[in-house]
Amino acid sequence: MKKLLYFLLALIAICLIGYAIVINLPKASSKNKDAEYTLTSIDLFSEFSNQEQAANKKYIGKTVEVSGKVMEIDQDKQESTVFYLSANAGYKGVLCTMENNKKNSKVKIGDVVKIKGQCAGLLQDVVINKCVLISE
Amino acid sequence: MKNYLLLLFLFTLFQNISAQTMFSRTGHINVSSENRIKKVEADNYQLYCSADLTNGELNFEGLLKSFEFKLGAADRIFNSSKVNVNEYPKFNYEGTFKPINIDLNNYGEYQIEVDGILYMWGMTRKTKATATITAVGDGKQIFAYTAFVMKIEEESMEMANRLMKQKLPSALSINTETLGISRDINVNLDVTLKKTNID
Repeated sequence: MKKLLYFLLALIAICLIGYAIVINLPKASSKNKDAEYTLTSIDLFSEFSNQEQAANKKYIGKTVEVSGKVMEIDQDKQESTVFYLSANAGYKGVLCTMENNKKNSKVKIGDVVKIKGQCAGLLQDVVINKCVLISE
Repeated sequence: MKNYLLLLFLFTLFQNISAQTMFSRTGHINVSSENRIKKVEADNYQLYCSADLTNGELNFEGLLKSFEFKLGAADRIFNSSKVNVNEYPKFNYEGTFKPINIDLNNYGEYQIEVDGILYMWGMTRKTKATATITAVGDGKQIFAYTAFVMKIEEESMEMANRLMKQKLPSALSINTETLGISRDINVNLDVTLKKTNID
């Protein structure tokens, strides 16, 4: 009887530990992922605007490394820095939302940067989220 | 002289009309639903929104892969290659409201009733919501906020039950009812729209 009680207690403890691990798992991140595609913001935007369906299949959910000229810097509603990389297409370009909420203050409009993140698809801009700055 | 006056009139008219067209590329939408175990909540901070206050049009568009789940485990699964959204990567909303004249140069709060259709995963859903628009008085931007509840249709719940039956061991006999999954999805939209002359 005691053995059964110990077994049940151990089972409950394992379940609680498992639950705690699942609840506290960190969110998905691009930091430790290797880029599957490396290209310029002009090329990425051009692929999406010319053949959106093919580009969706190729890039959505994939880690991409994009280099381009910063044409605008903004902050979103959770105060994450957002860089808009030029695609030579007017106000449209590649929108990169940085992964952490720290201000990337060194980067200025006109700088050429290299950013790695997860491609989400095309709205007005090609959208990349969970971004990390590789070089500036 | 006549031509000059006409041009001046047209220019002023264009300025006034375009001044009421506003947009945002970093709108925020929060969706949540509860079950017996945990509240599931996700945010999307990359919403494209446009509002034409003169014509009473409100549209927004977002990407499914831009959603971030509060629960780390759910976020990892959703962002893995197992969740394929390539066929329908976007959701969008087309709404109309009674046109209003907002004075961007003075602080003010305005209530509007928006009727619209949400398009998602090849399905459409009619929604009606009250939105609050706040002009901050800087002449450039407004804040828009709305919250509404979307009900999941019975057939969608049946589809989820069928999937669970296929994928999970039958001995568990788990379905949406045993998990206590609510048919209500709470949606909160929070956007800062800025004046634009584009489009």
